[in-house]
Amino acid sequence: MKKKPLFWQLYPSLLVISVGSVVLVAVLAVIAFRSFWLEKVEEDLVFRVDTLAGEIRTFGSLKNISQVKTLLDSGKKNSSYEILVLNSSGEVIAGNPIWENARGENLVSSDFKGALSDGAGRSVRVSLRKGKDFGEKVLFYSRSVDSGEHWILRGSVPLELVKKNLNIVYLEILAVIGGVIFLISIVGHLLARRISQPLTLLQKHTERIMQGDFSGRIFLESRDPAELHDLSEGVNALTKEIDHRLRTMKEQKDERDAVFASMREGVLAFDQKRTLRDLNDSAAEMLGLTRSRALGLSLEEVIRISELREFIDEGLQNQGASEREIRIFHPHEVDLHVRSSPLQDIAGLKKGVVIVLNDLTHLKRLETYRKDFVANVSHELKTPLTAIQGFAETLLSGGVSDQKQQNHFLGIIQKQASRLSRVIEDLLTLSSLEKGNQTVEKETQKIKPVLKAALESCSWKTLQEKIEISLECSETLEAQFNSSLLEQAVLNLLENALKYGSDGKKVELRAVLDAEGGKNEVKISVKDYGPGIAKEHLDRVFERFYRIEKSRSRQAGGTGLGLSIVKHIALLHGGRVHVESQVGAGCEFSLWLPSS
Amino acid sequence: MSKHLEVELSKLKKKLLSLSSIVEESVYKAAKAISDRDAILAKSVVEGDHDVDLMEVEVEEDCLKALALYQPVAMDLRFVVATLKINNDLERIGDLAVNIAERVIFLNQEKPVEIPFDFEEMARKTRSMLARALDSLIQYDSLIAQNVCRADDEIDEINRQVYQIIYREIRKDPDRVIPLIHYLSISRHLERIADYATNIAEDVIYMIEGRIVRHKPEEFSTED
Repeated sequence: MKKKPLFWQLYPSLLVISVGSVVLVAVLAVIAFRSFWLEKVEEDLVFRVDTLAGEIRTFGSLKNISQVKTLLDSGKKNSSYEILVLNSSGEVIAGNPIWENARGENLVSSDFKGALSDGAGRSVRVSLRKGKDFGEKVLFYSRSVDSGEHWILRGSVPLELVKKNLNIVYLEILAVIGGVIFLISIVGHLLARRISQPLTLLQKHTERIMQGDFSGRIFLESRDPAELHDLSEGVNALTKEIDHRLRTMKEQKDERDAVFASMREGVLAFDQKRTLRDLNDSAAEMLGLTRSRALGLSLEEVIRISELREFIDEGLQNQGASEREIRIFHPHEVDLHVRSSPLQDIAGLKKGVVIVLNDLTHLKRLETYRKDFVANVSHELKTPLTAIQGFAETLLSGGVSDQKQQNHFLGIIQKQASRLSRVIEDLLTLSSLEKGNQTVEKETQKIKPVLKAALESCSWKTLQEKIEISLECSETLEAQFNSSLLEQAVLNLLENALKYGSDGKKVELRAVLDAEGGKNEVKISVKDYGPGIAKEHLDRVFERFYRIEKSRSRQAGGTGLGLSIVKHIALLHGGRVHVESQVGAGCEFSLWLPSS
Repeated sequence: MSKHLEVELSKLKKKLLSLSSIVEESVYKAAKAISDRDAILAKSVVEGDHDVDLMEVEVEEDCLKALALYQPVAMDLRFVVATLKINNDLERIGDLAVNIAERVIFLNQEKPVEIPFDFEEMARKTRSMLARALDSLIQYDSLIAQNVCRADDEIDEINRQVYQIIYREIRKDPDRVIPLIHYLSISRHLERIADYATNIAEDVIYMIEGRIVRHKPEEFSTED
């Protein structure tokens, strides 16, 4: 049902009341007026008839009929009153001859009868007389005149006159009613507007709030009703409060979102229907998802690893929290620590689960390094020691008599001892480098001399293996560095090239100014043409004791720490190292130093 | 009635995705078993295939039931048909993973011979194709599917190169012929997995767009 505007609720009632009152008053007035008028007319008729009767009495007999007629005529001019003289039989003796109608009628009418019996009588009848009052109501008053002859004086006045006068009054009243209606319409309209306009303002204001616009306020005119002023003030205050609270909530939400988004741990939330409700950026990255596309997807669509899926399913079924380590391979091979906790709503009912993912790969790798390192160190130290012990024991037991043999064994002991010493020395170097003795003395000096010195240190090997080492470095190239450390680094690289890259018979040592990457760096590279290094090892060659082919490097007599030392020397100078290699195509080890 | 159909199709998709995860894992584990020469891992792949077969039968039955009960039309019909085909492709991929895994066991019985080609790279590319084919299924994205189809050429080329390498290696050292032949098989298996992944992508395109793009290599030529 359509709601009626205020105007249409006020107006009909107002109209009914006003018009009703006017009509009521009018009706009462008309009634009073009418009876007054009738009374007056009657009084008038009676007066005239009685007066005339008095005058006629003095005339007495028929002889004076003409005088009577004259009397009648004189009183008759322009008047609606008609007076007739009738005899007791009802015949008209004097008066307007038109009125000479049926005796019978006259006799029957109650005023005539009354006049005959009581001396006077009146009645109101519809006139049947031919003439202007035919068919209309007429008031008759009959009076007997006692003057010798028994005459009846009968006066009549048509009530039409009253009616006519009343009609005018009716019209006037109608006009007033019309005026009242018009006025009421206007007044009602204005009144209704006075109320509905501020209300419309209020309504528009609430519309704005629904759109999210909290900036508006309602201002009413002073002529508007006081209650609406109060209301508008209340609404303004409410608007302000809502605005404030929404802002606070949004701030809090933004804060929480920021925390959620910047967590390193991945967080996912699933509801009981196995739909993804929320996830943060870390989780999206770990699982190879796009946040906007993943939200709302089902468990199967989001999690592609069945072990993880089963774990989350269990979490959804069970009540408590649980955790597990799972290895996922999509999108990357990552070890994850997964933890599921039930998600509860305010009433304590289970709504879903929260899954927290922790990337353990890094931790696991460190642990692997550590384990490997410990194992390797033990091995590297034990091997020479075992040899020393063995041969020493053999010699002490006296089982070796041959002087040559003895010398041979002693030689081995010595070699192993110096190997042991080298390992320990390298370990100490590495250790001190790693401790971050950041205050390493650096000087700005030329690169070339350092390279040359390193070359000389391994010249014996080049001669032995018949490998050619080329040197390419400008005379003016310089950087800020510690010369002994740099020499050691270059030497280590050269030794590696000679040990493992000797197939190619050629090694290139090069130093250039490298502006790639935005800043000026000095790039020192050692390139060999040996068998190269397979991809899976490239990331790990700079690890302590990392060996690609254990058998081969042991033969070559290395400590396994050479590249590690190179890396740390580079880091100490604020530089970096990198290796490029392909199986069958040799290796290029590069070391960058910042040039100034 | 269509609400029931919706629910059924949604369940069907979830089952298919469950199966696809298991198969993806099998491929991953098989490849890892080769790299690590891990016979235990290889065995778990072989044994896990039984579940794959069971699930394949379940999915097929569910598809037939959906067709019979609900007589789907238009996209829904394409979905059920595509599911049937993808289901089949997945099961074959599972079998190929088993084939690869079995090689580990054979290889371990022979003298260790280094893989003469970059197996890990090939496996990675193949797995990536499979993963993306499944992505296109999950996300109803035919662009991703088309990329998968294009990527198949690369795998085919690698496989051809492997043949050459194996020939060369056998000639170089005929003693190593048995393990080298196994490696050749492995390369072939990977190539076929890539082909099935392409099939899955084509099925996804059919499901989304209603056009059948099999046997139309020019649709995916890299020269655009």
